[in-house]
Amino acid sequence: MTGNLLDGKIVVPGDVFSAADENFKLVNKIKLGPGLTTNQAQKIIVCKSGTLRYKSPDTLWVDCHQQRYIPSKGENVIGVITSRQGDFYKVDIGASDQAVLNCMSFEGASKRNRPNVSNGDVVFGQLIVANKDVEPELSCIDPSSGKANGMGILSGDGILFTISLNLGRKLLSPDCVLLPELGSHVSFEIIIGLNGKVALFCKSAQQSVCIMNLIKATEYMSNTDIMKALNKQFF
Amino acid sequence: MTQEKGTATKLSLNLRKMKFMQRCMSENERQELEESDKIITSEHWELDLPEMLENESRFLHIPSITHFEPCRHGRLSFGGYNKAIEKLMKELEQPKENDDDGHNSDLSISDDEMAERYSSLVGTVGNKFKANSKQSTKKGRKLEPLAEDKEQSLQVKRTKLDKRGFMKPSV
Repeated sequence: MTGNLLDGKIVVPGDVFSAADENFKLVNKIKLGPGLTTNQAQKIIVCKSGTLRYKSPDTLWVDCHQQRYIPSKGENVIGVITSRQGDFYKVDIGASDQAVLNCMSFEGASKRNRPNVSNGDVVFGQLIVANKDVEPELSCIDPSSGKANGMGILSGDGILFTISLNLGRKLLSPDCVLLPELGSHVSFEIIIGLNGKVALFCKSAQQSVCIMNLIKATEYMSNTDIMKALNKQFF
Repeated sequence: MTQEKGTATKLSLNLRKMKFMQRCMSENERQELEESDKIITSEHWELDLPEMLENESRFLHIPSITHFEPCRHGRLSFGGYNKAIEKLMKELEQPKENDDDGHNSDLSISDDEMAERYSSLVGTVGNKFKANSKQSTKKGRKLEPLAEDKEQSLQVKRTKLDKRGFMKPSV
């Protein structure tokens, strides 16, 4: 069985397959993504139900429908500030535990000049610590450039809603036509966290609701279906 | 008196280890000190355990799905709603385009960009050289004296020195 045959296979938790019988070009280690673990006997075990995906030459992961966010390092997420504990804010990012956010990890923040943050504020940040044993930590500064890069407190009249993690990734994929096409008709700002939270800013409430419904409806649509739906809406 | 003192007091180990004390130390003492050092280090820092075997796994676990499915930056603005973000979007998406070209990826400035810059600079750079050439024509001889002139000026200098002759330093 080659890796290509594995692509698109439906798997359920507990499925075991050996990496030895497959014709992986074993130059490098096999890269396993979310949904796959290994045991002592060097076999791959599935731990999420979904479709198996394979990317040449040595990458495997499980693509599954999911609502619960599992933090992983480097991902951009949206959270809601729930409380403040000394120098740290607690942020609800939709994961099993709340994330912490240091008040110094905003652009331009110093000990004297603290950011003006209160409970209920919506914040867009990057996960700098994501470990199953420790609570996740957010930062609003891009570690590679030291700049905010669009991260920070989200202010203005907008709407925050939740979508599935798949839909969030689909909207952010470079192939998806929905947002650029929508942007050619309406002017709006959208912030999509990989934790499935979306903040939407429009010029009117009607537009916001309309775009929100459109986004939620496109979960199982292909690009051509999306174009059809958009044409119906605007022409 | 002095002899008695010398035999009675024994200097501490730390004091004897100091550089200025080692100069007058006999070779036996030195060896003793070195050996004692060796014993301490081996006893203190080396555990007598079998070597740990490296656990070789054939797998690499990557927890983030962004590694497998390419994702754009999460903050997007369309139709001029937030111009700062639209500028940022352009900045973030440009390096990707450069990577696609492959051969241009390690150049910080592309050839096209360079050509564009210089095409706008042609006039100003030209002016600069014009100004220089005007100056050089004015100063002409000063800047580029002919070979004969050079010789002449050297001779003049020499004669001047000769006239003065050797001058005795006063006092």
